[in-house]
Amino acid sequence: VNLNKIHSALPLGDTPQQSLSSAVRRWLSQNGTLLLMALPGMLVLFTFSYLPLPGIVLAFKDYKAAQGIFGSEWVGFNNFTYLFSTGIAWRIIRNTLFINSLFIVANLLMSLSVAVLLHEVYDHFVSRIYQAVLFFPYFVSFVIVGYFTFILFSTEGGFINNSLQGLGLAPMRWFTEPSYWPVILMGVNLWHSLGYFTIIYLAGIIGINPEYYEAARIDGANKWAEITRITLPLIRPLIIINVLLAIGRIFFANLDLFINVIRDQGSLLSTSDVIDTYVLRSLTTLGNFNMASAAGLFQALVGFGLVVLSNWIVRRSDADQALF
Amino acid sequence: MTLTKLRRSWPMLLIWLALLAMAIVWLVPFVIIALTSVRSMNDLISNGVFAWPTRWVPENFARAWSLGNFSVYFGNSLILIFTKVPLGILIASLAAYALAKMRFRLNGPIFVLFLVGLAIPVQVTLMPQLVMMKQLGIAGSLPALYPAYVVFGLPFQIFVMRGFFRTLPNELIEAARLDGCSELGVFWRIMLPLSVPALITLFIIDALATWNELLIALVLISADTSLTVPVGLLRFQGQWSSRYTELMAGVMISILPILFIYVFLQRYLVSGLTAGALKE
Repeated sequence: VNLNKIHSALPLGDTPQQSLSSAVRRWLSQNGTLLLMALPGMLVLFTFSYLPLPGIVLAFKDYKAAQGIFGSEWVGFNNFTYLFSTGIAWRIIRNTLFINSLFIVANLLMSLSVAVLLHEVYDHFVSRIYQAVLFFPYFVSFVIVGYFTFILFSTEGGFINNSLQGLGLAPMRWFTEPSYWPVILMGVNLWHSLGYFTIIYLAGIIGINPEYYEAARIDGANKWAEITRITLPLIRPLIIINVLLAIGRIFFANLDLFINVIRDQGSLLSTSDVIDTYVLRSLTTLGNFNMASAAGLFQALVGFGLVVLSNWIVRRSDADQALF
Repeated sequence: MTLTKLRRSWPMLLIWLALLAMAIVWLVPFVIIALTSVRSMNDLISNGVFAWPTRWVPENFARAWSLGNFSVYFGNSLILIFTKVPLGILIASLAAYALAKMRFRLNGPIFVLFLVGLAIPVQVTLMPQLVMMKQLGIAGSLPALYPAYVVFGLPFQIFVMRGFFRTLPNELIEAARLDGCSELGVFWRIMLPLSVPALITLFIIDALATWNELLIALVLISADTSLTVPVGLLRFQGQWSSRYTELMAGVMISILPILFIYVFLQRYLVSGLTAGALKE
């Protein structure tokens, strides 16, 4: 016999204390097991994601290993002032925003074009094979992507330089020329993630009612008109949401891509050092925990603000698409 | 084909050519790997990357597998995939079920707590995690990866499973309860079996992410016997940097399992990965 159930079935207790305890007990009998089920996840998340967060106070301290995190001296906003006055902050913010913007534009234009072209290819089998080829790099480790880049651009015996020499042109010293790398990174990133966005947009296009196209054809519309007057306007919400979500993450770089392709090469840092790589380098090779925490905190705050803002805009245009 | 027909279909021809050119560019890196992995170093130097191998050298694979320690890296990554991934998905499903079915005022805030976890940058929590693992005495070895990897996957998995559980009718739960089933029984005997497709999708996505994860493993793992495939690949390159042929054989070995999953389980993958971006 479930005593709790009987308790809760009775009229609420005579004294306030009794009623409170019986209410708690009733609530627990209804939700206790469920709460217990959520507990492992909450504990792991709390311990390993939230518990480390107080370490952020290092951003406002002059960290000395001997004094520990909480024993070290408070220095207010000095670390941030240093980051901005030395120009480091501007450099890594500019690089992050510029490279991520390149990624967003390139991904959008290319994936939309490929999706529209693929839609014109009536052969279902060919289309499936094509999507499979385009999507596969998405699942390849960035370590391997880094190798490709190295094999392609290596000065001695690199594939591109060999081809240049084969054509009678002078080889280039790619790894000493920082100005090329934002574009190279864009290409590598495109190769890696184009398939994903193409599949999303293609699915959107396939969902369009074919009757629209038939009606347009009867009215004498050509292919270009079909694409610009029917296809693009109808998948506009999908485009807006994907771009907004990408803009929400514009303050965070794809760290795996950068550490494997750029490999911390000092000669390339002026154009390819982003916030994430700076934080990681400060932590590991430079051992400068103050700067790492300050830059990390700045990124987390601005980045989180942008995520919330873009999510808010997405929610306003289509509540179902919002993350939270 | 007559000239008029050709004239009418030339845009189609252009489209096919453009798509074909792109497919070739997309495949070139894999062709380079495959051709390089089966030839000798001399052959590579004298004949270039794209020449057909003058002699097949399957020994590259054997050397990568044993000398390059790939057997160990492979084993470690497989252990993670078959223990950590199911564990993580179980924890996520338990929490997702509670969040989907609990009538409870803190329900929303708890869910947001999980989702905000998505926005905490990895590099912020990495060093404190290393310190924690040192205090637990497991830093540097494979077990150190479990908490970090479970946490890493939780928000997305909870997000997906909560959505899935919500689509399952409450009448099923009521009926099971009337038959004397406990809350855990409902979850284990009714909810989980009904969610097998979603669980398979999550398993595949998380297995691939685990197979490829580099950053956390790079910081938390130091013992050579505990390295996973991506870290092993990096270390391998340090040792064999000039031996492109063995290096590419190693790359081939690490890509094959992904290719296998990709070819045979693609429909689960596509549906799972686009779930967040597309309305069904």
